[in-house]
Amino acid sequence: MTRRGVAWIVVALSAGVAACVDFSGGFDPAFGLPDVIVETPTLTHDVQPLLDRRCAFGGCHSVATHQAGLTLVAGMSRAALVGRPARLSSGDTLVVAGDSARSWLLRMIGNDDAARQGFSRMPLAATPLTANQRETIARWIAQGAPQE
Amino acid sequence: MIGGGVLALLLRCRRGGAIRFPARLIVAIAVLSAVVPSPTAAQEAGTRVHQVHSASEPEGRLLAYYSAAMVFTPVGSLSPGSRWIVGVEGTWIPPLNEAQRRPGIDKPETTNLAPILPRPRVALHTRVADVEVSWVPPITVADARANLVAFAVGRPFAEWRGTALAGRLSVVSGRVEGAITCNAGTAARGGSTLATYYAAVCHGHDSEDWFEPRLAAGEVVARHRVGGRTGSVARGQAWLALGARVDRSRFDIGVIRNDGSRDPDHPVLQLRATRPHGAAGVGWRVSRLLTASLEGFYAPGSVATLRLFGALAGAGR
Repeated sequence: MTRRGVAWIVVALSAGVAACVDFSGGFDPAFGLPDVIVETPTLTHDVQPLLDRRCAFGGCHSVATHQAGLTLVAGMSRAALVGRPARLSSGDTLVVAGDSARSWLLRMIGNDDAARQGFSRMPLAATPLTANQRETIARWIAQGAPQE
Repeated sequence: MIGGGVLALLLRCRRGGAIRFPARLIVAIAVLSAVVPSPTAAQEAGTRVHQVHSASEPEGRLLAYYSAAMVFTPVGSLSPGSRWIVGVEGTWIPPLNEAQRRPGIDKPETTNLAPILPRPRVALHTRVADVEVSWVPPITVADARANLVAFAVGRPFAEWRGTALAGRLSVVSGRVEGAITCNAGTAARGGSTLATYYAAVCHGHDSEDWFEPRLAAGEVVARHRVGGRTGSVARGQAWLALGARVDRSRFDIGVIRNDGSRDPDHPVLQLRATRPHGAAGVGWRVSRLLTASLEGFYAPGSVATLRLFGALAGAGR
């Protein structure tokens, strides 16, 4: 191999392998969960999976951290939500069974900044739940927030 | 994809035959892999959630990206006829855009801490095999503090018209520390939501995250000598390496609580993947003692990058 040949290889390497990242960003906005409206949702089958994936992990609403005093892991979430006062908004209730419009939880996961009274949307610094997922939670509340 | 041309180049390499290594070398590599400390596992086994991710998941892709950039490739180490070499390589780590820095969540992680991975390297030709060792001491480069070790052994098994085929095994381990999950600078530029995240989830402190590459790789290397008679020192070399790596790299999320301790409520992410990679490059003897090399490295699905290597080389086998 001649010196010129080596030089060509160097040029080819430099041009062809300009450093680059070989994967795209982005992710599933539904986080692998069903992106559908469930007509008659239950906590166990339809709502808790959303809470597990989007809320009840380390640093947030886990048993250890329980931000805003709220633990949303399976077995504890219903008691933590239904009829409990909203710590961020005095006079409001996190989940009013049978009345989704008065439930602070839905305001906190919704896109209406004014309804949240300036607080950051949940999940914090993360992609919002899809409209279908939020509607599933709304129906669960409207139907009395049943466990099963 | 810009790296596609290089992949095509790499794919032209002829496959080598079976690699024959002395059992002692294989045992040495296995022992080295086992003894490199993994403090996280030792101190906190059983107390942390360990999430295993494949390379197709967002978290796994990010782990695989950084570990791929650290693969201990030949990068023009021992040129034909050289007995030893001492030098420093530099690997360009391309910055990730905001979407690529979101491993499954919407919050961009502060991963673009250091644009270059510098790595000292010593190689020695012995009668049994070529041995390469590297250690990146715990110094801070940009905003990352690395402490990495790497080890490789290679042994030629065939030669034809100035081209030698060799089998090569390598391992990489250690730790890179940085404020990736919680970073005051990122929070300050990210608006009120990230500021709230920094205050609430990060407890108002920069995180002390640990990225721990744990790689074992095997390659077949075709090395062609340029100039000089067989047995003497070559004027230069060109090489092509194809291989695969087993990747068990980990990311220990180090959110710091107000008492200074690590918050155990955050998981340790672990990659479980076996992935192919390839490298091609040229090296040239600039003077009697000095060599310079350039290598293109491609790990499909992770990174295509360049490595530069400057070294002192000792002649005479």
